[in-house]
Amino acid sequence: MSSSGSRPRRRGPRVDGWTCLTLALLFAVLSPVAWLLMMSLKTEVDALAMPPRLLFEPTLANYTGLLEARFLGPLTNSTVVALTTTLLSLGLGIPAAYVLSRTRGATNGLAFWILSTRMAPPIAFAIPFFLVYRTLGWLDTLGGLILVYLTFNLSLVIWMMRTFFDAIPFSLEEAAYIDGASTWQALTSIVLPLTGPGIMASGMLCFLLAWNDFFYALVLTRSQAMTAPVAIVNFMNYIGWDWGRITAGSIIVAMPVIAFSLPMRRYLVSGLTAGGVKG
Amino acid sequence: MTSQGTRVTRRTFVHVAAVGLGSLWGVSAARAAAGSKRLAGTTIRVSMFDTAFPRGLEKLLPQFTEATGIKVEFERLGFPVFLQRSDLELSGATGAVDAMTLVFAQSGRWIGAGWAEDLMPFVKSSRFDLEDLLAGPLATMKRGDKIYGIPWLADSQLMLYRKDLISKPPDTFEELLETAKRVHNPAVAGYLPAGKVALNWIFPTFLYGFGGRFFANPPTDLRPGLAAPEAIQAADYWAGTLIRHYGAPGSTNFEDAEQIATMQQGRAAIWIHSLGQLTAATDKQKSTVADRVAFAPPPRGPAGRFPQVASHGLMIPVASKKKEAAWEFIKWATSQQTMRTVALDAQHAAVTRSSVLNDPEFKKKYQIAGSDVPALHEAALKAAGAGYMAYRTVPEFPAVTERVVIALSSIAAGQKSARDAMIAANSEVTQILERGGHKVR
Amino acid sequence: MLVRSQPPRRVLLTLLSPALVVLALVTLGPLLYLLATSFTPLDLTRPQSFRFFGLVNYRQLLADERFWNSVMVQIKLSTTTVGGQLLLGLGLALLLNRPLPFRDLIRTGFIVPMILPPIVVAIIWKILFTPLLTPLNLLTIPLGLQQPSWLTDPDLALWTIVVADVWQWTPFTTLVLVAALQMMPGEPLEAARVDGASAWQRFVWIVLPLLKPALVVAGLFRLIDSFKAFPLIFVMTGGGPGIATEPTNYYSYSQAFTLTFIGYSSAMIIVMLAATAVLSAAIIRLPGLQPDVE
Repeated sequence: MSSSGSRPRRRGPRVDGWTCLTLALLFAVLSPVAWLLMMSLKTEVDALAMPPRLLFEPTLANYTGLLEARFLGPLTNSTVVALTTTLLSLGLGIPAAYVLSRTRGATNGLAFWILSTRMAPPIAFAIPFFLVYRTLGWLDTLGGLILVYLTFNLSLVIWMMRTFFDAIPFSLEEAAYIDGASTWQALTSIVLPLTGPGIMASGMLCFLLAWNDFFYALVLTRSQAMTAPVAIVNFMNYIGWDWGRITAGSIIVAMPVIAFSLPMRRYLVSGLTAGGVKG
Repeated sequence: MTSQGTRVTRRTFVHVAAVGLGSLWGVSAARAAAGSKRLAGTTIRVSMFDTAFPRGLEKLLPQFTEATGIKVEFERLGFPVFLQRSDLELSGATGAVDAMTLVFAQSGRWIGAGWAEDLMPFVKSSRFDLEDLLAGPLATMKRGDKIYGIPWLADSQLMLYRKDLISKPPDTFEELLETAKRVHNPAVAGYLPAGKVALNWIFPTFLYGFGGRFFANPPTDLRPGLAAPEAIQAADYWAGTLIRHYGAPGSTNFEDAEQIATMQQGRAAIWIHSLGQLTAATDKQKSTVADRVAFAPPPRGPAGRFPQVASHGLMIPVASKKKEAAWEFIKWATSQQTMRTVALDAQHAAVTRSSVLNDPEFKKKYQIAGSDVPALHEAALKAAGAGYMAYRTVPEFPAVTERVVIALSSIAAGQKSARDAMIAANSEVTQILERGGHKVR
Repeated sequence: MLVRSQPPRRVLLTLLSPALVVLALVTLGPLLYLLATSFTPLDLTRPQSFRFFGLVNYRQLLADERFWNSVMVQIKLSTTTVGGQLLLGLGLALLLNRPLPFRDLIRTGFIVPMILPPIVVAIIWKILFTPLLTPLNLLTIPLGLQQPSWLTDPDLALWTIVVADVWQWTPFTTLVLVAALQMMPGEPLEAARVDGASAWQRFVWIVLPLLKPALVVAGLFRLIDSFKAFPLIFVMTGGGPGIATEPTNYYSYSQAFTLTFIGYSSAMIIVMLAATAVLSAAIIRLPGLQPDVE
């Protein structure tokens, strides 16, 4: 086995034993997802057939069944909550990240505290939030969820954007300040445009984490503010689980994140470690 | 102009006429509202766990909506998930549910926490027939002159057995063990335990049958008795021997659906459970052994026979914002007509109204496989009048039973001896009770 | 820096404080509240139970066999999943570092498990481990093998969670290690090759040591994250059979939200947080994260 370093590659891509192994592994890794997709397109008879059928007549009945099962509501909730929390996190986090970046030495402690808040398991926050929301009547509200999601999204934005701001030399703003520009002007017209990709990446990660959340939604919502992941689990509640709807719902919930995450996979690791590791 | 004495001015006349007409109109309006769709247009959410009666109710919902104009969003959840979601709902008091099942095992806890609305005012104002409801089940939902739920299920525990494999049903614990051993083979298990949800529901029959008890004297003396020799013997007999050696494999973890399927496919010979579940095995459409099963009372031990009874009801969470409409639903669901219809259309024998229990068509339908099920059912309910079910109304009982189930599972899996498991469970239960503020040492 | 060419302090504070205030509100506040409830026997069925009674919860935790079982389960889970992710991640990273055709596309395919919503991952593996539904039958039926009931067998249930978790998170370690491999200097390897070292020797004596920091970072992050595992257990086993797959996180969840024993559950979580804090401190002290190196 060899590894490529910073030197130019001596050989171009080639198909050899290792490549075949890689492709076989890829197939193995993705086949569970393929099975999920297949199940979502099967009728109940086909889904429960023994031995399992690889060839079958596909149907969209499970997907249309989702509409009857009032899946659209939770789906909308998920979208609204994820978008709002992303915007809020970006709005609050970007300025903060800028400050932390430009005051490096002084604010390291603060930065690490922000990082550490992401380490706690969700239940540590779920209990106090549940108790407080209960008193305030904020259980089962979209606003309640949005607020809770700030516990992980705000620090995510701050840490990621700090890294991006660090990559931009201060000299650019310095020149602007010397020319008399205000901080706001420097930020908006010079720095932010340069960190466009960073903002996109942070925003998409926020959206992904909020969209995927299951635990907080399970505990803090009931019927009005129920989000899509919890709605899917509700289909598991009937005796003799409704596999068609479960799998169709799963595919629908998975699609947006796959669509969003793939373009920004470069930033995934960096984001998932809150900027602690460069991906 | 009239004389002073009878001054009927035009003003007075108009005034009187207005009052008169107004009251006439008011009376007729009230009459119109009383019978019909006063609450039309309201939507209520009803949450029940899945079993025969709610399924029957769901089919009849359109009739309810027609009669009252109230729309119902009906949710039928699997039992463990229902419990968890309901607890979250009640403790969170979000008002997302207007009417829901009052689960027997939780009734002490939910009522004690003040989460259920007192229904007596509704009962009185709509003159609901409480007399017809069976006294035993009703009593568990009453506290003094307040009533927190209307029972729709009075489940008793019976034994279902394969009469093609067993000629005489076992009567004592020893006979049960012998019979299970005799018929047990890889294709047909001797005994079908009640699955993880109901482990706590069947064990008491054996616990009390051997002379043991959960608590010394509920509700006052809650000292747990799980480490007593009788309790250990019961655990060893039931989990350590009967289930471990003659039970259907993996069945201690079965959900209700899997248990029913096992029995319906003829893979077990004896099944002790609640009437509501057992009748599924007699479903001619789904069960391959529908005509090869019979009913008998559950076996007795040295201390006697203790068939367990449960009663589930319908309650209104205190946080609901549509209590009147919710009451209309409950009134309809537990009415004599609805109960009778569901009992006759579906497999729901565990009714709570004596008028239905004594209805000739009902009796005819539930002569199952030669067993007079209603009679057995009534006998079990009578026996429970002796009061041994009091342990279920202790608020901490759900937490207590969780520990007991864990202990029983580990005994049945051969991971722990009955002695070790029960002693450990007993000390954990003591802790739980102490956390609840009881003095139990 | 010259005073004039820097934003005034006041402005910096204005930009920073909203985020800080919100963050403190949603993280510090709740954690303090949690600490407070851990000293009470709070049970939502008894409103009067919000009263101070000292360390009783903690003492009971120490004596609680089920708690220690959950710690054991957590340790077993965390060590096997992180170990698996590191091993497989390393292997995959080495494979993906080669000159492959459509390398970018292939890499993208491998990270799909990590970006799926965790609840979807849980459902996928629930299906794969349910004998009635699994495509595994395609193998077992022709061979005449009887599948065990994976999710309800006390000896197998935990392994099903491990398999699902490793499948889900190996892409993470893979990505970290691929990045590390790509940043590795080529000279030491070239020199070793010229000296006649075999591929295996090059791997063990040069590549591995250089990868160590990345391995440690990936491992620690995954370790901390492994405490949060919830959807897999919720959907696949519910903590069962019995308590065979009930890690501490799940135990505290069931105490708090199924039995409303908030006080006891809070104490358990505080203990978990202490353990997490110790591990987090280890991460923060890692050389790779110091600001100057970035």
